[in-house]
Amino acid sequence: MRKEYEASGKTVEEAIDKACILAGTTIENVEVEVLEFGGRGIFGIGHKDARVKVIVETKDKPAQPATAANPPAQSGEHSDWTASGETDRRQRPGGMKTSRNENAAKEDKEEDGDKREGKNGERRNAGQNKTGRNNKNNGENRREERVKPTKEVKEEKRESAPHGDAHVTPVCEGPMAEELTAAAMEFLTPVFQRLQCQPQVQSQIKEGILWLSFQGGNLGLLIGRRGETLNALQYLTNLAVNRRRSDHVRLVLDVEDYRASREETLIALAHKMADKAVRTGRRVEFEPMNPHERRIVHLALQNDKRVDTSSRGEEPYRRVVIYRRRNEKRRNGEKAPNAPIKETPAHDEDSFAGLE
Amino acid sequence: MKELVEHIARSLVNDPAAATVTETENEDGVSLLLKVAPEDMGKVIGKQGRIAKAIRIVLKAAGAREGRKVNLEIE
Repeated sequence: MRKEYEASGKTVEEAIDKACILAGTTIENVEVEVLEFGGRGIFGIGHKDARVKVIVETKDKPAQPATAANPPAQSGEHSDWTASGETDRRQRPGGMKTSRNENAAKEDKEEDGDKREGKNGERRNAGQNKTGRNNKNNGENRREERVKPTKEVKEEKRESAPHGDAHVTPVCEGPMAEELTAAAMEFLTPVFQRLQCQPQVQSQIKEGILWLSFQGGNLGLLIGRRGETLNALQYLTNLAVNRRRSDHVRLVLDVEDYRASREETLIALAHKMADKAVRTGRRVEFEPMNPHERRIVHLALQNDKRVDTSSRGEEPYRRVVIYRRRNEKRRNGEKAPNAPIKETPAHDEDSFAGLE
Repeated sequence: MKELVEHIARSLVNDPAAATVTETENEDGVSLLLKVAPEDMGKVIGKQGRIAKAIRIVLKAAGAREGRKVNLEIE
């Protein structure tokens, strides 16, 4: 079935909004044809309204007005298709969930929640559109911003698991953990000997990942500059342990709680850098970091309404960038930054090093 | 140092017997030449040299203990 509605308004957007109200639906579900663009005129003279026609296409009959409140989908067969598409998209990360560690799964869930929130935002905006009060562009911008951080975190998540996260087998307590620990130590013991350190090892399983924690004196060498040596050893250990396995397991090496203190440092740094981005209005770049560390930063700032984060560059030089949200200042009644965010990166080695 | 590289390389390749290392001392420090079976080259170099880089980092740490620089070539 095909229905047409015509409406006029001061601007094309307004006309579309009105026509959508007439149609009892939202912009997502219609085809728009602009009949007249209209003109603003001068001092109200020569002013012409914009006129538009919206075409609503429905395969099914009466359910259609129901779409009014819930934009893309949820009516008729047509909606079935869209709805299932949506679910698919939402569940795809979940599909990998099974093979990934519990933690990631948990976060995936959180992420879903956020995504839904994003959708609600969309819905809200659509509602505002309907009242014709909200300018469409505005609504869309805001929607994007709201969804963006989540997207970034998700991206990091994808990156954070080495070798494609789809094939990571969670480590279980018992013989499997013992066997893996033994395999890892078979690789590590001669290396430690060469490095002249004899640390005590403790193994535990956290969220399907085998953690080998080392304690003992004088292990700074094992960590290296910003964990460089530890990460290299971890990478090699993972390769050595997984070499003869049909499945893929993940190991994390930790020395004297370095991982936890590093995470703390990164979170503190993230907040500091976010403040700086807000204060200066410039984008703030981090040093290149590995996916795991980038993810810590993204997650730390996920709920900071003042900034957005993203990553740029190619591995292994990929880095986190923090941007101040554009409309933030405006909302506080201060002068809006007319110039777009400056291109000069306010990269700050010092503050990074200072926190190390 | 030689044993360390040999150990790491043999832990990564499919043909451990083919992995050999020759060590030469010079005024700058130690030079190591790692040879592996041609089909195992990828296993010690890695995508974008990631594995080779990791091995070098570990060697650097080992060298630091003795105050020596370590140079690793793979052939």
